[in-house]
Amino acid sequence: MSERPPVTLTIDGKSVTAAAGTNVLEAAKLVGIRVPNFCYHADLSWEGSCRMCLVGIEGRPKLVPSCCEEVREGMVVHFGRPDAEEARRRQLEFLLVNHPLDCPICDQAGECKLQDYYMEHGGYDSRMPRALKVHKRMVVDLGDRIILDKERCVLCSRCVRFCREVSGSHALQFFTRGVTTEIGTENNQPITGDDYIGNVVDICPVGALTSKDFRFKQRVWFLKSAESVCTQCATGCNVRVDHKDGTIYRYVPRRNEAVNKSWMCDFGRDSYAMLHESRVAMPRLRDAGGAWRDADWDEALTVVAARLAAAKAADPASIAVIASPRQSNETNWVAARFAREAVGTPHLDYRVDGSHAKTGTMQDKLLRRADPHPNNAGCAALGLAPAAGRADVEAILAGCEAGNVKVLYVLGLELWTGRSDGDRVARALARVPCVVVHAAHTLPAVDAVAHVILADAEVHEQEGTFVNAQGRVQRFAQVMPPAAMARPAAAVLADLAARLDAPLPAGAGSQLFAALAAAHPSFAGLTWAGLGRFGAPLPHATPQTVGS
Amino acid sequence: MSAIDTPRGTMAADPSKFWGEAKDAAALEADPTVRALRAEHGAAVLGVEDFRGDLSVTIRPDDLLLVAQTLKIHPELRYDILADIAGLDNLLLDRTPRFHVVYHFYSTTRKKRVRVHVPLDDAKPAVDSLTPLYKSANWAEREAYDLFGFDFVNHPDLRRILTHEEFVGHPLRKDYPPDRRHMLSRSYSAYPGLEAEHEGRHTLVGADGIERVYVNLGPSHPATHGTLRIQALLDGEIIVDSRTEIGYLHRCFEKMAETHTYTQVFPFTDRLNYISAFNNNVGFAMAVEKLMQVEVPPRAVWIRTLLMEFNRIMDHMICIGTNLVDMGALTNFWYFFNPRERIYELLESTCGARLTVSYGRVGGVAQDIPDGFAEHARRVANEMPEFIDYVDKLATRNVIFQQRTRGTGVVNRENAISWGWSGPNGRASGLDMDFRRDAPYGGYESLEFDVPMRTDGDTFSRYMVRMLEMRESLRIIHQMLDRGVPEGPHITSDHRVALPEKNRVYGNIEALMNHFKLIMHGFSPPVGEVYSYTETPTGELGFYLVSDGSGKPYRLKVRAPSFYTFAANDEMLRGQMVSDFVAILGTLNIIAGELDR
Amino acid sequence: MAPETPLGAPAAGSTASDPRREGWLTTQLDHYVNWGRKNALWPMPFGTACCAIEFMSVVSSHYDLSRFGAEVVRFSPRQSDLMIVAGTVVDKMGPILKQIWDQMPDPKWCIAMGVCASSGGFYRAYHVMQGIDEIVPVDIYVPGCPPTPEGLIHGIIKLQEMIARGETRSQIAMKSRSLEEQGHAEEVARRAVRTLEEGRARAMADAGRGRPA
Repeated sequence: MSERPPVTLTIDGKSVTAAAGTNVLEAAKLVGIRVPNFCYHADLSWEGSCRMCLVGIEGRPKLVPSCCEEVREGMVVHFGRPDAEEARRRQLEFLLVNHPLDCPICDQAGECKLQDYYMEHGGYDSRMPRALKVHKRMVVDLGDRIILDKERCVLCSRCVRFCREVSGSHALQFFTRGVTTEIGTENNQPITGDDYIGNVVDICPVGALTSKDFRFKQRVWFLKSAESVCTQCATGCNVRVDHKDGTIYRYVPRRNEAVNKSWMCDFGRDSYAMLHESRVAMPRLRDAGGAWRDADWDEALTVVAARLAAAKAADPASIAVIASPRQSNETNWVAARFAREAVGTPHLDYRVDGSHAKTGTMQDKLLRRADPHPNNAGCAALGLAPAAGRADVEAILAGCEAGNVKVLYVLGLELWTGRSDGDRVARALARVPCVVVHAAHTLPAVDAVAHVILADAEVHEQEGTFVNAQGRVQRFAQVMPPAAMARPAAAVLADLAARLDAPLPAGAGSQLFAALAAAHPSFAGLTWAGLGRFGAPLPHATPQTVGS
Repeated sequence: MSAIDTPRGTMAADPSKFWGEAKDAAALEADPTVRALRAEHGAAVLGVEDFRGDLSVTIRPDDLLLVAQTLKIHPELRYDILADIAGLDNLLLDRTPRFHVVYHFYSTTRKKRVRVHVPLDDAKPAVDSLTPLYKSANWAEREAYDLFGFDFVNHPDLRRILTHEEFVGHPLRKDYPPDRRHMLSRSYSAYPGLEAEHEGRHTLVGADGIERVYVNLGPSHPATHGTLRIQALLDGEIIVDSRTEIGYLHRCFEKMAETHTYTQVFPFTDRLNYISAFNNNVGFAMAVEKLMQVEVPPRAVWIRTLLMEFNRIMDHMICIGTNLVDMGALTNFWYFFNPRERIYELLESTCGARLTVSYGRVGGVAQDIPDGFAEHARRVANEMPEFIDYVDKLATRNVIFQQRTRGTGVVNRENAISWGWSGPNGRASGLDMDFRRDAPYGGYESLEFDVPMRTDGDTFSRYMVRMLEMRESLRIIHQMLDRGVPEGPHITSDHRVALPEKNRVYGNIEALMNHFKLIMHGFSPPVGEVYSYTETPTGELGFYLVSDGSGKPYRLKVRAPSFYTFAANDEMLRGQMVSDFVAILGTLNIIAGELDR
Repeated sequence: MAPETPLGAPAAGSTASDPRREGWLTTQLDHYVNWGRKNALWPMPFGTACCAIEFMSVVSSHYDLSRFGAEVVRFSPRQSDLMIVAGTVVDKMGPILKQIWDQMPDPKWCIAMGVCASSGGFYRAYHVMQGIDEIVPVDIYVPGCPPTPEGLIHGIIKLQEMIARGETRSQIAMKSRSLEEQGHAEEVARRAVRTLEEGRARAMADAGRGRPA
């Protein structure tokens, strides 16, 4: 970004070297000083309106907001100086003058900066009589996602700047002035046409903007968190998954400067709810009469292994495996080895719905991509696409239609959900004697053609990695154990392979990734720990995988 | 700031601050312990730290035995008591390796403490056993083995001690879920190899041709006053060997403390030594106050100290009363249970509870004492001597009592030190140690009292020490009542730990937020570790508190005096008459809640 | 309190053929026996923790449990009929508790004193039994941590009321068992049905005559 050399300054006696162009507040973080602030946000412009980050700087007659102060060589900053502490304390008092007594009924309580800063930097006794507080509108419905409480607002303008600088909708604005200043929309109209407006709830440091979806569902201190990746497009926004007792309550974007900054789209934000919907609880078999029944894993795998073994004995090429751009690299890698080593078929492809061609295409100006799957790039990097002349998905379907495919082994549901020619898929698959599907969710179209449905673990029920459109390998953590009897596909494939006398690696996603990195040149040199919380680019990303 | 050098570190001039001030690097290197260790084992010392006046040294695991030997015998150090061993799992801290064993040493001559951290290998945590140097290491290491899975090389009897033999895993490891239980299918023996027990017989003939009788006492037995189990082999009436089995009341205090906020831990501390619950409250509160540097207002200190002394009387009364019942002197039991009800009433007037009071809070006590409390306390204190006199007359010079108690269950001073004894039991063995006097807290430095001592180390001495201590406690109580209740608040106004008053909570946003955060999130203590100890009726009650800065203790290890007292049981019983066993056990004042935690 | 009617005396107005008479003796004998039982409880204190200290208070002079006929504390299960589990029972203690309960002769009762014995209390922990009813049947749960002496006494009085009515698990089980042993089970059922039918017929007849049923 900046070509200027880094500068060295002193903060509370500690020397720190920071990149030129950063502010004092960020530099203080480097020496472990967390400067309180409401208005400053790393991915928004500097504003300096809340005055909570005041620090003393030698040579300056007055305290200055550290968020708006660029670091300079030799600067001497005093964060812990009594006058700075007192100024921040008094500033907090000002911010709380008209704040309502809402903590017990406020959704923000527990993750509210006012509360945190009062404990850390306040601690004074109130001087403001309750009767004198200025009142404003408290429940303003701002459309599908947001409830605004104008009394709780500290006028930091983060949301206003977000709508101006990031989403570009200019939906939220300041109105009136003086003590009655408030944020809101024109005539308090609901916000429409901003697909990123959910982010203002995350960046609101207090309880002024709360999420309609999450509000009053859970108290935040009861929630547990895990770090994951959004699976709704090829961008792979980093998210924090908040959950409790086996239920996910929300996604919150996790700052990753290289991928999504601090944002995520509303579509992705809502997608957590789908994870729990209509799950396949246990393996299911279709008996001779065409009726479905539940089975245990051993029975289901025995059936599948027998069908595979029979087809393999007759002609391995009569078996086709379809991998999935929604499965992790580890699962797809195991699936590919399963096809080649355990089954011995050349018929393997992941490009079920044409989304692989759109990986690099943006759907909007900000984050969302046209490719709705998280791992097309990973599948490409793994080399799952058949070489020229070999059967791709279209050829496999044609083979099905021609009656040449005896066992079709499918990971995921994209064959049914992602394509526009459902009739043709149904027609082709109806001619296959054995269709095995790893499905996490029930789908009537699958029930109509499949013979074995294996209960698959959802993304939050296993750990693994995806490769996003930028060619960045990103980890996702296991949030909770699989629902009911579902199992991760990689483990099931390893089990099946063992039954076919072809051992495949098994274990947790981290172990599989280690094996994958050791075995596959595209991932060479990467380690699970080395990916860290923010991922790492593929060592030599192929042009095919790199998006915009 | 004028400072006095005390056993608790360099003490600030203000007596309400009982914690020490951290030393700077030069002062730290000048500390005799650091100097001696650097000189003798320079390469073994991995780090030296001082936090709140607690000296902490990190030692290379291979050198532990040599370092411990130096600590024990070096003329300038003389750390003769191994006070406690704590395991520590660093899994959730940014610290490697994953495990530490933490030893707490105390010098009875220098009245100084040192904490030794020994980092252990992640894959196979193992370190030399300290049993050759300190007898107290025996059970302490078994506990660390049980709860953390550490291997103590050359330990004579390394097996589970608190959990049962069918337990799987090591529950105090951070990856162990707090509520994962393992059922026990059968009652089992502490003599796994004893043939007679396996065959259901109660006699066995040794290699010498002599028949021995096997007797099982407990864990549900009238004389065990709780859940202790002793299996003894008798030759005639003589106990030739015994095995003591504990853990029948292991209620997972330390794991519970890790899953509750600091304030929520108070009710759990009540149930350690439930006979003098308030003393535990204060012990724990002082550990947190030391960690967070909270000053306690004088009124709260006064209330605490007064009630602690009343609890001490009550504790001794139960100990002596039940001990005498076991020897057939039932009347004394009635004599001592009546005045106890008076003390209960006094406690009830402060907080509404009789036994498990949960009255302590960080920074003070939960609520103010009621009007007329001092007069009430005076009345109760005035009633006490009558009952103590009754028992004194009935028992102390009673020939039968003397014959049963003199010369039985003798523990000499050297052994008492090696077993890590403290409190009245230690003082009966000539171990002149009382932290109210040696490391004052709670205003004891300004109160006049004697520390009763005996040197015989037998059952009678322990009885006598307790009888005399009750009178000393009364002396303390009267002095405090004469001085009067200090004016002021009953709890600190420090917003970090004390809840704001209710009318403020409902009246302004600052107090509301303060209340909300303290209840929902708890305190925000600094990162660090402290060891705080008080003189409870059973001995040195220590809390080793490790904070990761979150609202819940990262690790809270209790140094339970009963645990170390009882560890000596098998050695004490050897050669004793089985009929004296009951009297010996009763006089040790083992409280199962504290023993097993 | 003595039985309201002297043993064996016929009820006024009944005749030898009165079906009530057959059931009357049995009921009265039970009543008498249960009266004895309830006023001579011999507790076996299974004291493990804090609650045991409050139990001591209950039996000592101030609260004086002997006022309720339950002061003969026996530490041998074979001599007692009321087990008072006072305190936390941990998994290590479980088999011992069971063993002691099994050693007690019928009829026997169990009071779970305090929340630990009732439900594990606030110890949701790896070594604590979540209520002794995991392994032994409980007649009375006394809440409190620990319960006040008054609380325990209240529990004992409630148990005495249940014993007097013959409603406790142990009494019901014992009764049916002893009848079975005598081969009377069928006879008892038949007799009960007959009594019921005859009583109902008589009640209807009484109603027809305008007398109170």
